[in-house]
Amino acid sequence: MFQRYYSNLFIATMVEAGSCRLFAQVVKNRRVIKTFEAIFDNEDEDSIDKKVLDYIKEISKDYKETYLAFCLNSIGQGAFNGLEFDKNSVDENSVTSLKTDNNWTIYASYIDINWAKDMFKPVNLDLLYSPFVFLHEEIQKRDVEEKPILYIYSFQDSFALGIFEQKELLYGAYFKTKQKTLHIEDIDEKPYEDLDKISEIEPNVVKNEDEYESFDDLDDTLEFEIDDDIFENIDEEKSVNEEATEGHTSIEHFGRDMTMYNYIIDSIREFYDMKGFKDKFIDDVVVYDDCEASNTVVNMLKDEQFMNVDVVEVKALKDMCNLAVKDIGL
Amino acid sequence: MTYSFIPPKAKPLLTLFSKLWIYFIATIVVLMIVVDVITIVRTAYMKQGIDSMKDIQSSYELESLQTEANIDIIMKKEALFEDIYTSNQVLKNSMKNLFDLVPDQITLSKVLMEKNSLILYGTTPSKDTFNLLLASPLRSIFSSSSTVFYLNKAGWYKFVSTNKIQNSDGFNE
Repeated sequence: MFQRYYSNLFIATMVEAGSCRLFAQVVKNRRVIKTFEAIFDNEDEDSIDKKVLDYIKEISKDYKETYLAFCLNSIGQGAFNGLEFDKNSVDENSVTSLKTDNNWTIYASYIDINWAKDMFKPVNLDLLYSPFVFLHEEIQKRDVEEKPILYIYSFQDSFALGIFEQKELLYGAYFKTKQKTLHIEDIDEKPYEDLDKISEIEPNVVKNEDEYESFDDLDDTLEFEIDDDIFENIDEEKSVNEEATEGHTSIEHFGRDMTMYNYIIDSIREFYDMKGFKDKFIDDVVVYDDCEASNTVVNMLKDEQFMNVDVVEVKALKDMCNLAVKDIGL
Repeated sequence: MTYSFIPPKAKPLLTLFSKLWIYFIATIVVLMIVVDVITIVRTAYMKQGIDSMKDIQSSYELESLQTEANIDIIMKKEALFEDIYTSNQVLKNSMKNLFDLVPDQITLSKVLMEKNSLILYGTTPSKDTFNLLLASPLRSIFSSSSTVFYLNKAGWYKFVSTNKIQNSDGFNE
């Protein structure tokens, strides 16, 4: 009751691409009075670096209450049309779900939720959001359109994809475009083991054998990267570390974009193959871009799929903070 | 509706320590209020008792006054009785003296003793006997004394002697 009259700190955090990003805002009497932003190196995505936890503890000291929100970035989550788990091959007993106002369901496995809670155990995680929640919030702001539209909420190394018709989700999937930290020398030895995991955990991604063809395409794409001259140059010019790093980064981005593009195309194909959506045709794509690194995907969707692509820049962490404030009811 | 997979932990406004303090202070305040209420109630009861005692006291005072008045009346009555008794004694003595005063020759038939007067009826052998033996002492006692004689068939004189005194308390009954 009185909580809104003293300073409450809301921290939104996200672990991706070897770093942990934080955005914090101090809310008092329904007004944001201060904001913080920080980025920390966090190579191991399965745990949070001590520096991050210390930073959270440090900034929390000055405020009466602190709420920590985290965006779940594990693949054990998804979204599906309707409310029936069996129909969508999801074990209801092993997931937590949220039902939206528009008759679709967001879920995440208990394993991943507990993993996230354990990761932030020293500072206590208060709120855990799915990327589909951000997608839902963005779509709520849009005008209703009769035709199906493909929406993508893109992060640095993952993205949530949803095909919506009149704010109702018809198809949803979550993908990681980078499975942990892939080193160039590891690519040949462990080619896409994690993609198999995706198919096991996320039933909406792959439902029949034909879909594996799309992963082969992906394989081809990355093989192309490895064969590229750029890699040779990097090996040859090891002494020029900065240039090598930039080249590595640009290759990573390109690889990420290609992986993302392939996942999108596979998802569209799967959607077209699904019963009940045979007459639906997608020609509009809206990309909510948090990482400002989806240009390649956008261009490929435009040039190769002849789709109308609308890119909307978003600040996921800030949106998460606002969502947390709304959820806490301040 | 919340969109978080986990519910946020409740963030109570007060810590456990603060809650304990507040509980302790509240308990003390409640105890003080209870003691205060008990004191107020007891004071009210005592006040009521004092009022009733005052009523009893005033009734006793009234009774005492009445008793005193009764005592006064009784004292007055006693004084009066004593006065009457004394007067009666005096009267008795006076009567005795009067009857002692009457000589043997004179016979009284009636004595009317009023407040300031004494009327004697009787017979005397002669006027002189009466005047010598009885009229002289009567004159010394009363301020005015008059006697009327009239002769009866036996040759004796009946007399009516009227004696009066002025400013006298008179004779008591």
